Amino acid sequence: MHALGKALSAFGEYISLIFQVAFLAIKRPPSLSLIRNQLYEIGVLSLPVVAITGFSTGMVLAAQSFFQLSDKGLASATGLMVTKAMLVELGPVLTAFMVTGRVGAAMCAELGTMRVTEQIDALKSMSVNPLRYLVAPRFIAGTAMMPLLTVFSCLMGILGGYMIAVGYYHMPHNTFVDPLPIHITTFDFASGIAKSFVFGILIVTISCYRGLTTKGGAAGVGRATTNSVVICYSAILISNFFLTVALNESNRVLSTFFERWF
Amino acid sequence: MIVIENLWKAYDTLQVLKGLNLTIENGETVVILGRSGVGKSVLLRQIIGIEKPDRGTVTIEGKNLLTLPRKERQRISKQMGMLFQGAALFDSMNVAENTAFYLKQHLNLTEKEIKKRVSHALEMVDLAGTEEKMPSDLSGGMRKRAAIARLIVYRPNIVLYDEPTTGLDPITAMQINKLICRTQRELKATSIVVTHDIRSAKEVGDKLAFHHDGKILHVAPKQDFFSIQDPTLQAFFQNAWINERSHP
Repeated sequence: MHALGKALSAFGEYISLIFQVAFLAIKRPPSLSLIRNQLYEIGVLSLPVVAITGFSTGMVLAAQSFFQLSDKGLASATGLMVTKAMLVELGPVLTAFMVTGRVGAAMCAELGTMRVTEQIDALKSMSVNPLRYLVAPRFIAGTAMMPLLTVFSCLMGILGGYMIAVGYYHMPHNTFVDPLPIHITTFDFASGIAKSFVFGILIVTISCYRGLTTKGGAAGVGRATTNSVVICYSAILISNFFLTVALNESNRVLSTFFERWF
Repeated sequence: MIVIENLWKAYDTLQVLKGLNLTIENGETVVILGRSGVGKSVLLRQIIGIEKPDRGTVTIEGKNLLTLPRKERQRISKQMGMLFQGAALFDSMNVAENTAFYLKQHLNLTEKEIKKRVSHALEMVDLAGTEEKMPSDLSGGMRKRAAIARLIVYRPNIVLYDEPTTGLDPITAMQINKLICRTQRELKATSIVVTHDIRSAKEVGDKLAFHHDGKILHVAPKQDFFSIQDPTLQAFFQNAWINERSHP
């Protein structure tokens, strides 16, 4: 019962942190130099790892799709499968995983170390709000960069898939590319972007919350970092399911509405 | 003047402050002595507003900090500064950036003016020439001095020192004590020093206070404090002297 109470209290604190940071980011935004540093840290420095992940996933998807579908006469769907999978599911989720591992863990460790070495108290003692100075720039940069990184990852994935399907399995260029404009809809793209936006908020806020609540010296920082990564991965996977259902359902409702009235 | 009345603070089931009272006059340096773990640092955290007490009042300039509107509280907080036990320099910034931090956050100064004030503060603590060094490149004593420079650069009216000499060798501790005295002279600030180092207390304090079991048991001017006939206080002195003799 005591543990449940603590967990609920921590969840309440976490939700409160999201609102406070969102409020600060809008009402009293941090300085541009702080945001720029985080945009570089989260976005630019994540490009190589996101590129490798997207590219290799696209290649594997193409190889498996071609291998599994060719004996059923469906090999022509390879391009469509790779693109749909990358845009709707794998692009946002894998990018979120990579950003969690590279950026989220570092954020948690940095803020955790600042916490246990009294640097956050030093900020407060100088009348500087740690949420505004430390969390808000990461929040703005994280939510802005995640969709861009996801688009980049998807492009790399499609490129990887194309190279395997066309370059290795000798699929005709047109067979890979032609179905894409017909079957890839705006909704596919928008749902991937919407997911990545939510994942960005989750990664930054969970990592920062765990960092800011770190206790117990160096060992505590290690525990908090591991814990934040595990929570982020779980939150991404669970929220992905609910987002998928909600986005698909809203798309269905909106399509029916537009078909009926326009 | 700082007036602390009936201050209570607990962490889970551990009651740390139990109705603590203390008054500090303007420009006075009060040293709070007490064993480790009695809540001396906790008291400083309540005064500067890092934590909120469960009950009680902290009054500065006749205003209760705990009930003031945010802007007014911030105005008073900006005139306060604290030296942390581990110095708490920002790891990601070099010495000059650490020292300039408050100025850049709160004062509208030109880069030239900031540079001038930073150089002056670093000269005062004998750290001229270390501007580009990172905190990880500094020794414990140098870090404490850099943290003092970060304090004095914005000339606070109230300065809180949390165990300023803990973990330092006697010579460095003496340097820090001298620096605190010099800072007091230059800033004419009201100061609270928390320590269990009696030698340091004698050197920097105008008044000494004894913190025991969540309360201030005794407050007296430096010259009268050591003649207070209280078994708890005398036992603290005795243990502290024995400890100093065995670890000079």
